[in-house]
Amino acid sequence: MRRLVSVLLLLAAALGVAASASAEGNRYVVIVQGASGDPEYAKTHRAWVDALSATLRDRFRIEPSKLLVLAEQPKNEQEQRGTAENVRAVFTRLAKETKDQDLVFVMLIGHGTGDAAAAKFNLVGPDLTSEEWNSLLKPIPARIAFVDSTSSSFPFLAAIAGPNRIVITATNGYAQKYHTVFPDAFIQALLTPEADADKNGRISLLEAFTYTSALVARHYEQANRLATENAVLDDSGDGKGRLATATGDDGAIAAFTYLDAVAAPTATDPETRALQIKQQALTEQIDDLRRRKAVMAPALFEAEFEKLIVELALVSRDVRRRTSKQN
Amino acid sequence: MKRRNRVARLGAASLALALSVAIVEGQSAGPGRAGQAKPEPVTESAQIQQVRVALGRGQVAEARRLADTVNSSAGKDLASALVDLFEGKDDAARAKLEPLVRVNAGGDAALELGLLEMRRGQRPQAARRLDPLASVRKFGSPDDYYRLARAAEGIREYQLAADAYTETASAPRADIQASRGTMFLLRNRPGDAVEDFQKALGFDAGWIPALLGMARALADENPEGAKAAIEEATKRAPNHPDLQILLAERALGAEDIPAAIAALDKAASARAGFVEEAALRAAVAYGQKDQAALDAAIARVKAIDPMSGLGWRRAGEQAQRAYRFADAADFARRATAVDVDDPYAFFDLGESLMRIGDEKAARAALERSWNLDTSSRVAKNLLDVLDRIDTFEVVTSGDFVFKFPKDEAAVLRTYAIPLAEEARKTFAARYGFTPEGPILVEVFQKHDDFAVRTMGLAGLEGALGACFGKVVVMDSPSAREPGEFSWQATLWHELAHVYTLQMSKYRVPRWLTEGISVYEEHRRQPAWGREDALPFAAGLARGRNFGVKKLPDAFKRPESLALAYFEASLLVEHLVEINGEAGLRTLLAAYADGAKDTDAFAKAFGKSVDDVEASFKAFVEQRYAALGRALADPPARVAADDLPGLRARAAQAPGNFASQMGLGTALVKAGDYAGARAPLERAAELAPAATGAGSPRGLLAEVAERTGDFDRARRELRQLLAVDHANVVAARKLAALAGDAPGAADDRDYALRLIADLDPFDAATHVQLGRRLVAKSSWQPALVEFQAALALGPPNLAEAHTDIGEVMFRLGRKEEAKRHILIALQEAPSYARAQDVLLAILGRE
Repeated sequence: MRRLVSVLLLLAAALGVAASASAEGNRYVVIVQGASGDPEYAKTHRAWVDALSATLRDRFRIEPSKLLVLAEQPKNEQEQRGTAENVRAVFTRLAKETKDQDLVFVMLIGHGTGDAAAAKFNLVGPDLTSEEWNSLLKPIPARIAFVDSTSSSFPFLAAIAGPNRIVITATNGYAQKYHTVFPDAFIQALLTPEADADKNGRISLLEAFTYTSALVARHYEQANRLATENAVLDDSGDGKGRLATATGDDGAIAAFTYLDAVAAPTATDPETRALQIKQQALTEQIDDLRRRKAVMAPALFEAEFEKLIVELALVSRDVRRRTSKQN
Repeated sequence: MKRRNRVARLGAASLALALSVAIVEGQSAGPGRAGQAKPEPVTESAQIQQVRVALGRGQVAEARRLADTVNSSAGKDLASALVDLFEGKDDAARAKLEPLVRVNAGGDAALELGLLEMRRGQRPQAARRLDPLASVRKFGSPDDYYRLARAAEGIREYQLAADAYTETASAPRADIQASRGTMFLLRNRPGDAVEDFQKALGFDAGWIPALLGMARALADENPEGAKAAIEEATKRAPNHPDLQILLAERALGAEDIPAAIAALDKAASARAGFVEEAALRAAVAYGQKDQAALDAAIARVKAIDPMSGLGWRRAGEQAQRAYRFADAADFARRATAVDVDDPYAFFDLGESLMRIGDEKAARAALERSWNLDTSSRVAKNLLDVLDRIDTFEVVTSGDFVFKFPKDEAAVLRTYAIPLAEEARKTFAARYGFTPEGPILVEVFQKHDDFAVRTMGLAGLEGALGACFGKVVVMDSPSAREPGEFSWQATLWHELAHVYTLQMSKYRVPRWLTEGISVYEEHRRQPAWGREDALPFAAGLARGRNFGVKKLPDAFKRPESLALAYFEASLLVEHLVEINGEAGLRTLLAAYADGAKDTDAFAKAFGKSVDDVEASFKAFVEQRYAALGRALADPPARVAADDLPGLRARAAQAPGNFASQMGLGTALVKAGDYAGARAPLERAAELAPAATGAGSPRGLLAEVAERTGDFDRARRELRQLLAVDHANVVAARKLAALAGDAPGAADDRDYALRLIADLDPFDAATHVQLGRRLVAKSSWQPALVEFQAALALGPPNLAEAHTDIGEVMFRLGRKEEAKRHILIALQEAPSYARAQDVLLAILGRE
C-alpha cells in the first residue's frame, strides 16, 4: 500500500507540472546553425534554418523580435553568426528578458561530435560542450525546450535535462555519429496536420517528436538502410528519455507544450464568440480530466468524459455551423 | 508437398565443391598413412588393421587372405571374425570372439562381440560387455577414443559417443573419420558429415563407408555429387552390402520397387541376414501394398534382432515418403513398442504425429525421444517449435483450424480465413470432394520455424509452404521481405494440395499435385503461378523442357524444380483442355485406386501417355515457341554502353528481346528517354511477361515518370503488375502516382489492394484502402481494413478508432461504434469528425 500511495503522489506531482506547463507566456526561439564543414552541408543546413524560421514565424506566429537566428553565414542584420560568443550573448539576454511562464525553444542544426565525456555542438569557431550549454541555460527562468538535431547529440540529453525542460536529441546512442535527417523531418512535422494526433488544431512538442521519429524511421526503411539515428525525448528531468515508440513518463509535459499561442476567439458575432469561449473552456476541462485519468476510477472518468465530450461536440458543431455561415 | 521460390541454393554448390575436393584429395593421398594399403611394420595390430582397411575398401577376399596371415592365433581369430561379421556370419564370428573376450574383456574383441550381441537382441548381455568399454577414461591413442565412441553408440550413449569423437577430429584415419561423419549424419548435420567423409577420403580414396556416407549427406542438396560418390563406390566395390542397402533406399525413394528388391537381393547375398536388409524389405512390402510380405519382413527382423523396431521404422519412412502419415505414425508406434528405448523411433512417431496434426501426442513422443538422446537437434528443434506454436492464437473457422503468431493474428485472420473459405468452396465444387478435417493451418513469422516444422531442421530457404494432407504450414508474410512472395498464392497452393492428396488417397504423383496446385493458383489470379514463364520459354527454345515422361524426374533435382513446377502446371492446363475438370477428377480417382500412369491416363483422357506427350509438346510449342525465339541469345555481343553498337544490333534483330532491352536500357541510362521508348515497347511486345524494375514495362514507367507523363507511367505499372504480382515496390509507386489525381481512382484502388495483400502489416495502406471502400459505401470490407490497421498500430489512433466507429455505426452496430468513438475522442477531444459521429450515434445531429 505504501508503494501505491507514493506512486500516486508522484503522478500527481507530475500532473501539476504538466498543468502549469500549459500556461501561456511569451515564446522565444533560438535557432543555432553551426559550422557545416562542407558546401553541400552548408546548403542543406541553411535550407533547414530558413524553413524552420519561416515556419515558426509564419505558422506559429513567433514575434520576429523573439526569433533569434545564429547562422554560419548570416543573411541579414537580424541574424548573427553562430559563434560561442554570440550564443553566450543571446542566452544572457534571455536570462534577463524572460519570465517563468515564458517558453524558450532552442534548436541546434549542424554537426555534433564527441562522446559522453566531451560532447560538443560544432559552432563557427570554438565549440561549446554540452555542459557549457547547460551552464548558459541555467540562469534563464523560462521553460526551455531544447532540440539538438545533430549527429552525436545523445550526450546533450543527460547534460541539458532538468526541471521545466523538454530535451530532444536526434540520436540515442554514442555510436550514432552520422549526419542526421532529423531536422528536415522535424520541420515537416511542424507543417503537416497529420502530426496533430489529438486533432486539436495544434502540434505539441510531443506530437512533433513522435511524427518526426516516424518520418526518420520511414526514411531509413525506404532507403533500405539501417537507421543511424533514433530520436529521444526527456521531460521528466532524469536525463534518460524515451523513444517515440516506447512508453514511459517522458512526454507528459511535451504533450501540452506548444510553440504557438492559443487561438483567441475571433468571431465578431457575440453568440458565436460566446460559443467559442465555451468551447475553449470545455476543451480545457477535458484536458484537465485527461490529465487526471491515471488517478481516477475508470468508471468515474468515463462518465465524466462522456458528459463533457458530448457537450463539447454539440458546442463545436454549433461553432462550425455558425462560422461556416459567416464565411 | 513443398512450394518453392527461386532463392539460390548455395548449399548445393558448396557441397558439390566439397565432394570434388574429397575425391581429388583421396586419389592423391600418399601411402604410409593409417588406412592405406602399404603395411605398417608387421605387428599383430598392424596386421589386423590391414584387414580392417581391406574391409573398408570392400575387398573381402583380400581381407580374408590377410586375416589368414596374422601371426598369432588370437590375432588371426579376431581378424577372421571381422571378416565374418562383414559377411554376416555372426555365429562364426561369435565362436571366434567369445574365447578372446574371456581372456581380455577390454579389447577390440569385446567391442565387436558386444556390438554383435546388441545387433542380435541380446541387449543386457551386450550392455554388460560394452559398458566397461564406454567407461574407460584412460586414452593413449585415437584408437582408445574410437573404441569408446563405438561402445557408447552401441549402448545408445550418443552424447558420450559424440564427446569421444570430438577427440578424434585430427586422427589421420579413414575409418575413424568415416565413423565421425556417420555420427554427424545421424545427428542431422550433413555439412559436418561431409567434412569428415572428405577427410576420410583424403586418407583413403577407396574407403567405401565414406563414399556411401558422402552420398547420403549430399543426397538432398547436391544429387549430382551424391551420384558421383555412388558411382565411385560401385566402381570400387560393386557388391558391397552397404552400397546395395543405399541403392535400395534410393530406389525406394524413387518409387522403383523392382530396383530396390534387386539391390536388397544383392545385399543379402553379400551379407547374410542383417537387420538393415530385412527392415528395408518391410519398406518394399509397404510400397507394394503387400501386407503378407510386410508381416514376413517384420518377422525376419524379429528373428535377427527380437528387440529391433527397424522394420517398422523403415516401413514408416516409406509411408512418409508416400505422404501416408497416419500409417507412418502407426508404424512408428509399433517400433516404439518393440524397442522402448529407441530415440529414433520416438522421433519418427513425433514427426508423423505432427504431420497429421496431433501436436499433443507428438510432443509426448518427442519429449521421450529427447530424454533418450539429448544430443538430438531435430527432436529439440521440433520441441522448441511446439513451444512456440503453443503461444499462437488459435482461430477456428468451419473445418479450418488456423494457428497464427499472437501479434499477427488480428491481421492475418481477416485475410487468411476468407481466402481459405473461398478455396474450400472453389475446390469442393471443382473436384467434387470434401477433404477430411480439421485442416490445420500454421503460419510462422520466422522462416526457420516453418522449416523445422516441416523437416525438423532450419533451412529450406526455397520453400514457402508445405502440405501434409490435413496440415498446412507456411511462412507468414512477415517471414520475408514484402514483395518476395505472395503469401496468399502460397496458401491457395497448399490448400489445393489438401484436395489432391486426400482425393487420391495420397497416391497422386508429385508432378500432378504440384502441377494442379500451381494451375489452381493461376486460375485464382492469372499472374500467380506464372512467374517462370520466361525461363521456361527460354529453356524450351534450347530443348530443355521435360515433357510428360521426364517430368517426375525433374522434381527430384533441386536445380530443375522451379521449371518442373511451371511445366507441371502447363501440363495440367493441357489435360484440362483435353477432357475438362472431369478428366482431372478421373485421373486423381484412378491414382487413388492404385492405377499406374498408363492406366490412369487411359481412364481420364482415353489416351496413352505417348499421345499426351505429343499433344502437350504441340501445346507448349504453340504457346511458348515465339517467346522462346525472342529470348534467344542476341546475335552479337555489344558493350552495355556502346550505343551505336546497340542501335545496330537492335535494328538487325528486331525480334530479339535482349537486343531491344539492351538498347532501351542504355538509352534510359543516357537520359534519352524519347529514344528509349521504341526499343522498350518492342521488348514489351516480345516478352509481355517480363518482370521487375528492369523489365520493359518497369523502364517504360520510369521513362514516363521522368518525362512527367504520369498517366502513361500508371498505365505501364498496371501492365507490369498484371504479370509481376508480388512487385510491391511497383504497387507502391502506382499508388503514389495515383494519389488523389482525378481519374486515377481505379489505379489507386488496384494498387492499394495489391499492397495490402502483399504486405498486410502496412497499417497506412489498410487505412487508405478502408477509406476508398467507405467512399464506395462498402462498409463491411472497409471495416476489415480498418480493423487490420488498428491491430497493427495505426499512424493516428484517434483516426483509426473513428474510422471503425463510423463504419460500425453505418453497419448498425451502435454500441461498438460508440465505444470506438469515445476512445478516439479520449485521444483527440477536438476531433470534429469523431464528434460528429458521436452525435450521430446519440441521435443528436
